[in-house]
Amino acid sequence: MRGQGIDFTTFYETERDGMARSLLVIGGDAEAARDAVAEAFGRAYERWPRVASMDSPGGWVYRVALNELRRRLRRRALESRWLRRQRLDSIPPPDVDPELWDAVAALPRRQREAVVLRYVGDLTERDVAGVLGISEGAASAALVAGRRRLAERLTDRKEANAP
Amino acid sequence: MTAVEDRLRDLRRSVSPPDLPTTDQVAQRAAHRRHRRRALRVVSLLTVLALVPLIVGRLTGDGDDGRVVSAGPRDALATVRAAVGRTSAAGSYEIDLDTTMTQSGPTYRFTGHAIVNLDPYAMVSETNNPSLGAITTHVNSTHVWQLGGATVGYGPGTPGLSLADYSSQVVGTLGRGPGALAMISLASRGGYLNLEEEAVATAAPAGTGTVGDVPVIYFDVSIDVTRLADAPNLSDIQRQTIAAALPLLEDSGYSGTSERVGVDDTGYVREINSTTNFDDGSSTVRHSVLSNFGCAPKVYMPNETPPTATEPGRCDTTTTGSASSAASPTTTGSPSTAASPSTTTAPPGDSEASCGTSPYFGPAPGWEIVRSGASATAANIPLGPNTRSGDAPWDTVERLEETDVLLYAMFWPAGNADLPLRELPLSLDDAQPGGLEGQPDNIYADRLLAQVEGWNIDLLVFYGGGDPRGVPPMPPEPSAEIRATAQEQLGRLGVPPAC
Repeated sequence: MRGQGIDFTTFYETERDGMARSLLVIGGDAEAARDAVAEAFGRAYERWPRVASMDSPGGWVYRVALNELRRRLRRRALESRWLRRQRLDSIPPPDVDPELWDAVAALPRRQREAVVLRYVGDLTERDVAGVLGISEGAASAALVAGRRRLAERLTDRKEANAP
Repeated sequence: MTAVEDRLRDLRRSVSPPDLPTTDQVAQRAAHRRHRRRALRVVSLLTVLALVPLIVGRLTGDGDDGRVVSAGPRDALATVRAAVGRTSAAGSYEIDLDTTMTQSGPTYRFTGHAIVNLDPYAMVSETNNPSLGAITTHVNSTHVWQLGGATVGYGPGTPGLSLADYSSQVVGTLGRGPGALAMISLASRGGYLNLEEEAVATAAPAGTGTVGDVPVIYFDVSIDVTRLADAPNLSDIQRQTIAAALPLLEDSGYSGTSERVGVDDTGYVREINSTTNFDDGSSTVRHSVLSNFGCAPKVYMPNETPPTATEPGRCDTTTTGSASSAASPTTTGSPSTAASPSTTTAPPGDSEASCGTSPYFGPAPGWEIVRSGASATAANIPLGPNTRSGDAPWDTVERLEETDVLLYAMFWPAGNADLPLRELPLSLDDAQPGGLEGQPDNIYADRLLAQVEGWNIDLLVFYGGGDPRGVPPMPPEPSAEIRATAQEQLGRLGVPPAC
């Protein structure tokens, strides 16, 4: 996340895949994730000297990308009127455990974002808090609650599927 | 490291990122955005240049069909007088008030909300003052009831305090000039507006603007309050009260009231900014925003008993508060003023409680409500078309500003997957921060799940106040005051038993 002194190309190539991966898991929509990441890095490119001087250029781009993703999903949700869904239905990518994919999708938004940023994006708790714009305590609480929910859901599934 | 963490980290390894643009493509995208912004600026400038002649044309055109399409100097006076007449003819309206009275001693500022009925004349206002607290005032053509401040007019068998007797108390509190002006306001029909056709002395166009989302044409108007006593349909007591107050006004060096009046294109007075200065240095500055013309709730005096059955709606049977055609400004509806005294409106009737009727929000001044088959919505700003067509109220949620709140309850009959059993009134203390996919990022939301009377209820309370232009747009925690406002409306959630 820390990137002072690096050029944009290096920054982009270092950060883009992890960010795109996280946004894909958060939103379940590869196209929205790709566009959101491209949009966020485009904005970073426009003001790179300022972004590069920030404590966490990656955090800034993550926040912009996450907002952009939410905006795109919101528009999609409005168009589809799938109002009760926490995340648009999506087919898990190949090689991804569908049970885990569904369990993450079923998390409330904040918990889902926190968990994915922490474990898929490999951000620190402090950076998760910064990206989500919440306190470290709140980020920690969301992570704990998200992990607990995931554990419950994955355990329930396993028990339900047991012979 | 737990198993869940391990599996999540596996997810990182197994998820392939989508195809992403190259660095050059990102740079091109940024350049494209710069060009687009530049083009937008040019288009905006051209649009403004094109609109100027149109606006000038409207300001110098002629009226048609009673709608205000002109504001030329030659017919400004006629336009303002017609607007005052049209507003009175609506029969009812609501006013958001902000009044500051300055004198040699303390300065009094009152903010609040009033509902005005004109046939027969009846008004209730709820105002707040930092030193006097909340004051509820009921006025009809003869009597006054004031609750809070110095409570008057209440008691067993008390028909209220005569307007004439009330005068001396008001003058004693506010001072001669502002007090006399307040009494004239109370005694004249129109609810603090001091606006009768007869009293409009001069008017001149003063540009255009918007009140909330409603475009208005402004006029600078001078008012001759001495003519208010000549208005028709006043009671003897009202005339006497105005007549008694006029000498006090003169003694205080009253030289007239100047007002800026906003008239919308349907011919209603939407906004009034008035300033009255006195020779002794005291002054009264009043900002009034009008809404809900012809659709304001029926006002009952404290010595009257509202009917127990639901009255036929004055406009839309499912809507109270601001009329849909009359968008009220987003500055309205401060929490304390949105509250209604219990005697102000008729409560929902017993018929609402019949089996098979879906949950609903009860009406209250300053609130607009809509009920559909699967949801009920209440907001202290005008609701957008989404709600009326049965969709989620995103078009209203996006407009929420500070002190604005919207309650959206979705419900379905309880079944296998039931929500937590709760009792009415539901409490926001049981709510959790939450929201729905699709809500604007700058909007804070509480979510409350409940099972009541055989209904599963998924309630969302959206609070305004976040900056949508922030990067990222951050939703602020709602204040205790705005939460109290939401709780008050939540208390009006009616849940008839499911069949």
